[in-house]
Amino acid sequence: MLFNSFGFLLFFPITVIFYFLLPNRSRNVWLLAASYFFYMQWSAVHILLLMFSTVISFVSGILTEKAGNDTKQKQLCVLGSFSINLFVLFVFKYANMLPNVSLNLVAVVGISFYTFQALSYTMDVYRGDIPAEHNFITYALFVSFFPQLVAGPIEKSRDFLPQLKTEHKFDYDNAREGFYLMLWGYFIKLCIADRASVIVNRIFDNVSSYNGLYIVIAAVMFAVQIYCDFAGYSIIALGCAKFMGFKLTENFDAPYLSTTVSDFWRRWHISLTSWFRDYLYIPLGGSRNGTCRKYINIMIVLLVSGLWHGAAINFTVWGGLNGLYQVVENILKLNHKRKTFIGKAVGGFFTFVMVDIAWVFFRAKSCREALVALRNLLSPTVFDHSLTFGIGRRQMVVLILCIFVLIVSDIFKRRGVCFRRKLMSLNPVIRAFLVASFIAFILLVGVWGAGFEQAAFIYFQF
Amino acid sequence: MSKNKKRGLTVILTLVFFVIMLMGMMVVTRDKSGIAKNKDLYTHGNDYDVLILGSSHSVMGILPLELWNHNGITSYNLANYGQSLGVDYWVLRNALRYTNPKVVVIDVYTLFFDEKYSVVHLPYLHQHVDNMPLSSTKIELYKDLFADEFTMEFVFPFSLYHSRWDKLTTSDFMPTESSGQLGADVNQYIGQSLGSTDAEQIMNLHNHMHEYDLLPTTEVCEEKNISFDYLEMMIQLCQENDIEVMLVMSPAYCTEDNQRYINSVYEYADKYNVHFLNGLWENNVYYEADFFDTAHLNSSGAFKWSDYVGDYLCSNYSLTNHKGEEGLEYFDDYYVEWNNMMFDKLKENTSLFGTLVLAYNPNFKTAITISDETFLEDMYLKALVDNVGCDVVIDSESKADFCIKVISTLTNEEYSCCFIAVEGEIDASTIVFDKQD
Repeated sequence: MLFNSFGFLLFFPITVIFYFLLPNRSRNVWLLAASYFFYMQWSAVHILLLMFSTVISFVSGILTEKAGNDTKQKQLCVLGSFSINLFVLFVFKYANMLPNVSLNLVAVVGISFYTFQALSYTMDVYRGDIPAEHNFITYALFVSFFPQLVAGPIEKSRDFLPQLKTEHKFDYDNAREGFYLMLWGYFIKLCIADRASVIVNRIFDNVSSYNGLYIVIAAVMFAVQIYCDFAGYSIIALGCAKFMGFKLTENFDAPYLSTTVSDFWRRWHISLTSWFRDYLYIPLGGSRNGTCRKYINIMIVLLVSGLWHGAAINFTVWGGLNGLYQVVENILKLNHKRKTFIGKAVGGFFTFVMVDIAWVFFRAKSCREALVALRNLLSPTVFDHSLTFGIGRRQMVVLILCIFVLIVSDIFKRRGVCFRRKLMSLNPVIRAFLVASFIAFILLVGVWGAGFEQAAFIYFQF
Repeated sequence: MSKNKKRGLTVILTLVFFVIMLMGMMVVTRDKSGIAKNKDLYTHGNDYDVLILGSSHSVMGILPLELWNHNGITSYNLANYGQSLGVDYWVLRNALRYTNPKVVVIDVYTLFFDEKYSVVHLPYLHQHVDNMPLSSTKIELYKDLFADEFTMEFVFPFSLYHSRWDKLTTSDFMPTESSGQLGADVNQYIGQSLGSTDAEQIMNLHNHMHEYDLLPTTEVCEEKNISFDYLEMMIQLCQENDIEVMLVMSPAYCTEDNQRYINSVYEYADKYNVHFLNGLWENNVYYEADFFDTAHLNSSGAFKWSDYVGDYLCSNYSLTNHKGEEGLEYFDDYYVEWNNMMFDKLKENTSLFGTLVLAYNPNFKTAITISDETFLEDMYLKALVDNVGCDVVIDSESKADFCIKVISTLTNEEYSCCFIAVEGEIDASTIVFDKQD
């Protein structure tokens, strides 16, 4: 069930209404049932994998706790949970990469997300950051909470498990803020990401026919698309959770305004970056074992991150490029904070260019296709009327306006100004009119409904 | 005012604003062709003695305005492109809520459709369904016709039409006028049919026609599909409501398989004691000149077939000639408007072949002058000239090769145009005529 489907527009209010109507002791059961139902709309069979992962990490947590100070036994429990969970992830996501292996397994929606969430719990219990969860319903809900089940944010157990044990009463302010967040998420998904995707698909699906400026536009539009697609999903997830009184991790913090690639990675897919920092980079030694080792660790983390995104070489190249950028920034000492406007602008521009070049590998179907795109990008632009962007002039104008609104919003966000909060402080009549107008605008201009394939959120495949 | 009351009012106010905006957007963005097609059905429902159901063969081939002109029959055309008998049934059920017809004409061409509706013709289905007022019939229609995947775009058509936002024009903000054709659609073929490739088109058509062999009517299809069920349901529905039924098959090139379906209709006509006018066996149209393509009549053919159907209706059913009756003046107004539109299409047409097709019109008086009699040795050109049915003057002094003069008898407007053969032999496959007003 997609957030931008009619099914979800029915599912969400029903889930919320019953959540608040039910007595507190039954609420988690209800949310778990709703989450499983939500997941089963993609594939009923794959719910078994989700349950399997849940049971393994749940048992591992209890056994780890029971092991007390017996480090070996604790390590064995962690190893067991990691091995089994990663084996399942490997079989369903990466096995087809191996030569002479053709399992033809259907992609499992959200498997990378819930596996990582379950593994974070295993590690947190092992480290003693949190006690093991003994209530299976609570734990199962932690792994499968529907707003963030299929595309994150990947929540840390210490942040999210306590929230599942707290009683959430209906709160008007939470509901209103959650609703506004959802609207903003829908806006950037339907009005920006899905319209930009038309241009991106048109050009990347026939990349050898386009050159110069066309490829530049496609690459820039893909940067916009993937940001708005993923951030859109995350914000809707945050909004859904907020409506019910839960607080999820903010996954993006105006990443394209970053002035270095390292800064970009602190603001892009924050929950995954922090997962890798906590459970891979630091265990590898982080920056504690010398400069050379630090660079190796950065490269390992980014390569694994690339592999996490997809079982293909081009994703690994994408991760590797981003790792390389960060290493070069460290070596050249370019990763300091820029203070002047010119410095910020130049840094921001170059960061965007570098990140966007890497995105070409992410978007292309193969490394070969990415290299063709980059070669054609450098060739002179030949304007040809038969080469179109796939959208009309009015759509292009509205897309550019919407992107402008997003940029302004991100700039203000960096300055600590939140439009959502400003909106809440307005006169109720004006606020009601603005909110209604915004919904109407999304419904009118957004890409949704019949005639358009409801574009699946890109990050589901991971 | 308490905090909760204030919050409640804000929510209500937001909803009110939103509903108003949504209603406005729904009205502005919706496709207006369906409203234009069926507007008169809902405003003058009780005026119509005859309802016509069917597919493209009928929406383009049985013209209510010509039935009015020729026989004084008041009719409404509810046929549409690719319309299955399943859709016909529901369109009829809906129409009977607003009309009180004496006869229902059912075109049986789509009997070979083994589906409730044609997926490739969904836009035309929208023309009907989106404009049906909400009723128990409409809800039953949803339940019967639509698989889940299409339900939402019919229940909430804004989900489809909002994507028109970038194509809106001033007319989308104005009230939609009736098409003025009582449900028929002659725009689809007049004026556009025979362009620069007309000679080749006619050749292909004739090649098809020469393959046209009629099977004996005893050869029927062995398995009856879902369309037969809907045909029976329609006949039963009409008979329950004391409405007479006329089954009809328009003249067309028909494959042998299609003919078997058509031949199966005789069994149903006998079973329910209803008339079946099978155009495949009638000789009222001129196969050399009356077709737009192998399946559809052009304007010339549509006039002839409509007149034929009108005569058949008058002979076999108790229908009244309503001409001159009070309250039906709009039929005459529409007829004049339609005639003017046809005249404009004639003027706009740049092809000799297209002009000759359009020159066949009960309200046009035509004169043709040709510079060289040998032009008429071309059988295709001769067929079209003969079809116009006027005297042809041979004038070797004429500077142009073909001169056509048309006078509209309704408005006395006059139009002349000339064509010059610029290349090729006197053969429809190669000859090209340039128009010179």
